[in-house]
Amino acid sequence: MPEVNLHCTTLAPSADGVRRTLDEFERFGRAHGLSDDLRRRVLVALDEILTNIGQHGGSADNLILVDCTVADDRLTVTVEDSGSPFNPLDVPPADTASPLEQRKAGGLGIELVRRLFESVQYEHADSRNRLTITARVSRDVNHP
Amino acid sequence: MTISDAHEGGVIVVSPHGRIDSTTSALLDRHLQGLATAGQTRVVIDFTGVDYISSAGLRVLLALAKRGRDQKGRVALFGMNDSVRQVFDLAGFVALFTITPTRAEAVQSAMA
Repeated sequence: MPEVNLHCTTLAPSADGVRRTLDEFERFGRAHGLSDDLRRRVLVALDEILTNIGQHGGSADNLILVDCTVADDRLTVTVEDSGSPFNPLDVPPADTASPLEQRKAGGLGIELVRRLFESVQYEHADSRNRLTITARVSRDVNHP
Repeated sequence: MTISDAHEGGVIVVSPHGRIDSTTSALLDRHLQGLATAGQTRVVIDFTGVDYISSAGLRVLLALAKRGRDQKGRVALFGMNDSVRQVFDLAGFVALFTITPTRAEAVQSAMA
């Protein structure tokens, strides 16, 4: 399969921007025959990452760049933003074990991203936060 | 996302359709809070029309479970696809909810 790319830009914090990016990835995933499993995992991750940037780096001029590439059966999703340096992977592990009375939902988003993907990497370079997730591509068996 | 309700005995079956994420979770939250305000404490969530759920949706369900406990209500879930189930597993939410294979079992559980 030849390399295919999706580039999106959006602004944080913007619910419309998140929705538009999710819609664009949805079309990208279906057009290139990504399996439901992979498409949904990426949609969850993008929702978590983009809303997280909205909460932590939320100035109106923080331009977020989302780039998705499928090449050699690897999917790479990179999310870059120009907000304050913030490594979401430093967020302590979320509580996934307490009984209902004590359970809090904080930190669950990044916990899901960490657990849904084989590789999640953060770097801060050129005054930008860059989070990269990669996955082996599984395809929809019905895709031509 | 669209949400439809069905009444079965004293139980309300809530069926969201589409994705449950940051772009839709407030709608579901308002819907479920409205049911609680109306005194409807036996709630089944039908996931058969849900493509995926992110942490924004989990937050809404955690609030539903806590309200259910406070109001001595019953909550049951059914019809999850593998992706929704995986998120429940990874978040440790399986232990917080009654999750059944079928609608009939979910309704029965919420009635009990």
